[in-house]
Order: sequence, then structure tokens, then C-alpha cells
Amino acid sequence: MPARILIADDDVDLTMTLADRLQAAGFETIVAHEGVRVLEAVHRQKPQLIILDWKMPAGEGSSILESLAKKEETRRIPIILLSGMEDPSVSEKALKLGVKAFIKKPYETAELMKVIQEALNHGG
Amino acid sequence: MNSNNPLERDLRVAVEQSANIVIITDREGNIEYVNPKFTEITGYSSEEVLGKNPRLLKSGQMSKEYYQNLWNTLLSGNEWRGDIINRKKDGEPYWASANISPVRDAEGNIFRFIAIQEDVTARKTAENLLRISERKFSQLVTYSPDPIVVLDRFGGILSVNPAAEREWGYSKSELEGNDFIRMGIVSLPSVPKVTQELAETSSGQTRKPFELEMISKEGGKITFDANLSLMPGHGEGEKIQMIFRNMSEKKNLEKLQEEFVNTVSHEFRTPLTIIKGSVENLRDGVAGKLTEKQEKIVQTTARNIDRLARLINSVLDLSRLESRRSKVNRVRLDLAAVLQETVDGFENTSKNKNLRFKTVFPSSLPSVHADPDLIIRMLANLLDNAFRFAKSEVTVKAEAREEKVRISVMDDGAGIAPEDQKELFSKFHQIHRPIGGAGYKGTGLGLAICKEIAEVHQGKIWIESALGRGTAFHFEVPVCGQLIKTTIDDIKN
Repeated sequence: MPARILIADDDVDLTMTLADRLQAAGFETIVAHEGVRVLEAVHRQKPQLIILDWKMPAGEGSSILESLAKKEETRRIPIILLSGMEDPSVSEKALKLGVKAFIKKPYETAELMKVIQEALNHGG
Repeated sequence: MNSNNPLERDLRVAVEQSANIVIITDREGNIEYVNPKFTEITGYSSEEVLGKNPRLLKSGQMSKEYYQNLWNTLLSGNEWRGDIINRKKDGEPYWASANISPVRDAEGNIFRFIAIQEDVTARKTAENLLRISERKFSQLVTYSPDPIVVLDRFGGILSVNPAAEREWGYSKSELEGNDFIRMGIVSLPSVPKVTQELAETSSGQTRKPFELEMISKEGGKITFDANLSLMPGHGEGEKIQMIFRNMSEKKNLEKLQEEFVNTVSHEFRTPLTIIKGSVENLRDGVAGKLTEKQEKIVQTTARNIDRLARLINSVLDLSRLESRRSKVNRVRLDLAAVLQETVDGFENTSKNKNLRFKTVFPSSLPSVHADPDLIIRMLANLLDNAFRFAKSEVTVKAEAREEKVRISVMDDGAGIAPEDQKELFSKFHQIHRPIGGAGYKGTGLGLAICKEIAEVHQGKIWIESALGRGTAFHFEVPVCGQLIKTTIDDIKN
């Protein structure tokens, strides 16, 4: 069974590029472009990993993380946070809410793949 | 005027030795006597002027009415006093403070005039210069684009200039006579600071400019820098002068720059991420195997996307560092550990490039108060350069020196000529830029960033190099105790 990964980013091109890559690497992918859709997708499709953009329309990164951390069935899903800015206060908050790793845009695909693999090995 | 009377003789001596000019004329104004002082000042000998009229001293600078009034006063039998501009024999004017009295005979008829003149040219010149100087300063104040206010020692407004009226919207009469702090033009949060600055200025301390917020008559808040100084008083006690500089424009510019940096930071990154990801997908065969030619094109694209990403990151880093708005996260830092970590990251580079990598650290280094990310960034920049230019060896050295820690990154490359060293730390300056397309290209910002990082840490960075002898970059940062002391001194100042 290939691992199922949820890619949550408001940019369609970005989710497509990343999905292409992950699919080529043998993963199953789900995409969500709005904050509210993220939680829906998580409950319906039960991904093993979430790649989450910190700044999403309709549902800020932090509120999504809080909702996921509250529920028993979702709080153990490893999360990789994608972010365009380096604000230490964001990182602290996110770490408290169970984020496993940060990837700064623009990322190195090889590095992202490595982080995904590690998160899947250790998480869940 | 010969006399055997001893008193008359003495009076004569007094007149001869007088520090004032004495002129005696007959009723018609013909000169009968002048004393030596007259000759000394005007340059006319007594022989030259005897029998002549004193109008030969006329400078032409006094009005006809002035002389008319003089004669009317005298001929009506009164004494005339006044200041008058006369002319010396050589044509040079002099100011005389004159006292002219009519002398009467036994019948009460005027038969003589005695004029006593004091040369007051020096005083008049000084007064005139003072007036000019006063006018100059008052013009400076009147036409200054910056508000200037004079306060008494208790904070009462004595005077304001037109710029103050303009900037704050109050008229001169609304401001003058009021209490500067209590009248409500200083915004409440600024009141304690202004009160303190006023007190310290009036106690004679020299103050640095400080920022305060003023409230205009329409209620708008405006940020100013204010500079206070004690004005020497004359009788009525010392005054305080406040000069204001409107800082709103600068504040707006800073805000715009920050917004720009944030926008660029966010808006550039997403498309760049997508382009980078797509090209990497192509390169790595996600869309099928590429021909050799296609692969070459894709690799060139990928390399230059990386270069663009580095450039954007560097511009943003530098802009944040320069505005001192970046969150510098300073902690008590074990420099030896950070150094080791950074050096480890370059082991692969050393192997790939087949360059020796020497590290010379003592077993422990004093702690420094620094941002680990920034220190790593600086070391990485320096090592990156060193590995680019080294012929066979790169050395990193760290040592404690008095109250500083010095880190040196050295290569044995071609070295940098003295004339090229000057511009090395300025933006977009690159030396030895590889000619042609391929290969790693720098951003031209690395050393400018290093310099900013050094300055953020109250440290310094410099180069030591000569052609053919390699290059060393030295970076010094104060150790913990020293830095804290500096900061406290800064606060005190």
C-alpha cells in the first residue's frame, strides 16, 4: 500500500508540481486548496502525511494545526510545514502544535523527498 | 587763551590731554581751537582747521534735517547731544558721540560753541555687527523648515517660529505663553520622556535627539525627532531651545520598505518554488527520460533558478539586516560548537573539490552573545568563498583575543590586490567572476551580508590579502561579558 499524502496549498500549480513528483515516487496524493477543505480531506481520506502551507485562505495554518491536534484520530499524522517566511514566532507555535519539519520555499525537491521519507518512517 | 591763573592753566592741560575731541568755535562757527585728540582722530592739524567751519568734517551720511535740528537746538540756546557720522581727513568715516554747548557772554548772547566728541566707532561697529548677526540668526529661525521653540526653565513657551505654527496648526499667539507639556500638543505616551529630557537639559546635561509624538490642532499624530539645548540667559535666566524634525516621511518610507520586503519575500517565493519544482521534475525524469540535449537545457535552467533563488534570499536578508528590523535572535552561544557544525557541512565540498581542509580551534572558546543562524550564515559565506578560490587548502582558525573571539577563514588562492579590497564589502561587487556561462556564480551580496552580520553583533570583519599569497577574512565578535557592558554604556549614553 503506497502512503497517502495530503498536499494543502492555495496555489494550484504548486500542488500539481508536487503531486506529479510524489506520484512519480510512488505515493498516492490528495490536494486541498482551502483551509476548510484540509480538515474535510483529512477525515474522509485519512492521509499518512500532510504537507501544509502556513498561509492559506479560509483557515489559517495555525487553526488547522489546532483542529488536527485536538482529535485523537488526527493528532498523530506527521505534518511538514511549507512557509515563505522565516518568523521564529511561527516556528515555535507550529512546533508546539506537532509540526515535524519546516520546508522553506523555494525548497530543494531532493531535500523535501528526504524529509517526507523521514516523517513517514518515524510518524504515525 | 594764555593765563597765569593756575586753575585755568590746569583746565587747559585737562583739555589738551582729554581722551575726547574738543572743538571751540566762534558764534559763526569758525574754529578757534581744537585739542590734540582732534588731530589724532581726524588727521587734521590745528593749523589746517583754524578759522574753518566744522562742516569740513561732514560725511554726507547724516540727513539735512539732522543738522537743521542740531543748529536749531544750539541757536535757541540749548545744549545738543547726539551721535553723528563724521569724516576724517583721509575720507574714512567715524562715529562721534557729540555734546555741543553754546557759551554766552555777560549779556546772555551766544558768542562761542564748545563741542566735545567721543569716538564711538568701535562701539557702533560692534553694535552693527551684532545687529547683523542677530538678523542672520532670527532669519535662520524664521525660515527654518523645522519647528523651533524656546521654553523657559519651567516649560513655558516663550517663542515659536513659523514652522512650528505650520506643522502643528496652532498660531503663534495660541502657543506662546502656554505650558509646552500641559497644553496638549505632546502626545500622552511621549510626556514622561519629554519631561525627563527637559529636566536633564535644564540641569546642564547635553542630550541626544530623541523621538516624540506631537498632536496637531486637527488631532493628527506626527512623529518628530527633537533636539534640546540650553540657551545662555541674560538676567531672566536660562532658556531651553527645542528643534524638531518631522520624521513621518522617514517612518512611512521604512514601513514601505518593510512591506515591500515582506511582499517580495512571499510573492516571489511561490512562483519560484513552482518553477524550481517543475524543472526538477523534468530533470529527474518524472515526465519521462530526456534526451542528452534536453537534459543539458534543463540542467542549465535548474542551475539558474537556484541562482535566482539565492539572489532573492540574499537581497531580502540584506534588506532586513540593513533596516535592523530582522529579528536578531541573540543567545549565549558556544562558538566552538557552531563552528564545528558549519565546518562539518563543508567536508563534502572539500572532498569533491579535492582541497585540504584544516581547522585550528582551541578546545573551548569564550561564549559570545550572538544569533546562531546569522553566525552560521556568515561562516558559510566565508567558507563558500574560500573553497571557490583556494588552490589546495582552506583553513579555519578560531582564537580568544582579550575580550573578543576572532575567527579567520583562509584560502591559498590568487589573493586580492589592495585596490580591489576597498570595494569588497559593498553590494553587488564581485571579483574574479568566472567568465563564460557554466559554474557556480555568486550573488555579489555575500560579503555585504557578512559585514551587516558583524555590525549587528557589534563586531567587525576585515580582509588580509596580497596577490599570490591567498586571502584571509577575519571576524571578531565581543565575548559575552564585554558585550553586556557595552550595551549598558550605550543605554547610559
